[in-house]
Amino acid sequence: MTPERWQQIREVFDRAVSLPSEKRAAYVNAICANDSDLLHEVESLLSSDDHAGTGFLNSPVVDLTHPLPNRAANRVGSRIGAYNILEEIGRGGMGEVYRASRADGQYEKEVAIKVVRGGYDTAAVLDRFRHERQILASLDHPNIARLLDGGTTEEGIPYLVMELIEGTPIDQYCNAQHLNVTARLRLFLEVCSAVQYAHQHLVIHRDIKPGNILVTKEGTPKLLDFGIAKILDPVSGNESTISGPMTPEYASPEQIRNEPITTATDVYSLGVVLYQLVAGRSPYPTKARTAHEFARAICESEPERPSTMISKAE
Amino acid sequence: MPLVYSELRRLAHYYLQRERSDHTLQSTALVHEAFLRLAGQNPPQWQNRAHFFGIAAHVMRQILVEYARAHGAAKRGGANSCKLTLDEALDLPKQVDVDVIALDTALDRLSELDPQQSRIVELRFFAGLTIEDTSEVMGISPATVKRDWTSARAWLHREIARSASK
Repeated sequence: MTPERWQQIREVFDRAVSLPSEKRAAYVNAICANDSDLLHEVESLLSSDDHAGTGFLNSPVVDLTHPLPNRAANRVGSRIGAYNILEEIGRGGMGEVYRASRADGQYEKEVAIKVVRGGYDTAAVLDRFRHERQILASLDHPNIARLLDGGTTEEGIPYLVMELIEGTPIDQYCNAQHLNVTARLRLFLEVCSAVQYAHQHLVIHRDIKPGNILVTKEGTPKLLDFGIAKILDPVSGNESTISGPMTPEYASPEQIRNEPITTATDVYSLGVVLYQLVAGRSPYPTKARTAHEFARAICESEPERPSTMISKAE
Repeated sequence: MPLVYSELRRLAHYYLQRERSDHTLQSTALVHEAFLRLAGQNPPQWQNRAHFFGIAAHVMRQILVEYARAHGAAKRGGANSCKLTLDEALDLPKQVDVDVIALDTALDRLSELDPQQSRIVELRFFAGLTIEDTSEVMGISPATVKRDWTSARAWLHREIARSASK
């Protein structure tokens, strides 16, 4: 069959198939009166169309126009790299965090695995990860959760393996333990020593907040995710910084304004955490809720002194 | 965009190699997920939607054919007896009762007669595009898509039936 012949056949077929079935035969017979081969072709196609019914090829093998149902929850019980995923322990803007253990029994200790959420540019994340992993893995401080490993899942999603820290965010811990100001400051000093250590190794955290400072049962504060924000940060200079890994409430003015990040960025965030620990609330107006409102409060207003705030509250 | 193409191929091969014989096409779902991620990449590596779906549908077709060959060859029935059954747990069509290898061969022949019809079938069957999606992606009217689809489907059905009876 030639393309020209096929066009001829399908023109008759197109017309015939659009007619009510009882009128088809007459139409086809009339059109194909001088071409028995054409008649035969069209008739057999019409019969195939009948046989094909509504089923044939009508359920696509895959529907790429719709996202799959969320598979993330199904990771529990599966494997990522050399690790068995035991339980989901967190979920946030960057992705999910799981408790996991080595599948090959090389060591007993459980780890935390952070699986980067879809939507990140996988190649760029991996690239930054390769650059940073040596530096991050070399951070060895009692108050910093260690980065152990990393790679990509079977689906090509980057993941990071970190020391598993079981603890409570520092603000909740202080309240639950009814710590006085001196005890809070002592705890905070340990956090500062971890940040200072990292800064000496030229690593900036970029996302210091109570949720990233867990206090263990033994009362040791541990900083999580050191340098991870940089790995996941979209290309700098991109306006998406606020929606990126950074948490607006603890961000520094330079982060809000998309200016270069320095060690002072971490110091600023530490200040916000300290303020909360001693004053019991955020330095920003309570009505600030959206990223935009935080941005204004952070860049344009001078917070009240914690002492003023507390005496007002009393 | 050969880079994107080879990236998809690489992914596909990766899943195929890992596919166990007792599995259904869970790997398809994985590739699907990978595609969606590629589609959502920022900055997009796709010139446009048509470009993405065109490549994705074609790669998906190849993956399924390769899968069917590998799977069919492992069984004694030979490649032609292989039908696809998708994993119900994945919320995908429960049963795709089509001999993909025969379909692939027939589609190749159809593309010699009318490449546009062959592409429409690829987009609709291997990427799940509706008539309207296909019309938008290919820049032709929905009526044309529908006509092309109807005669292509009849032609393919006949072609596959003929090859099966040989």
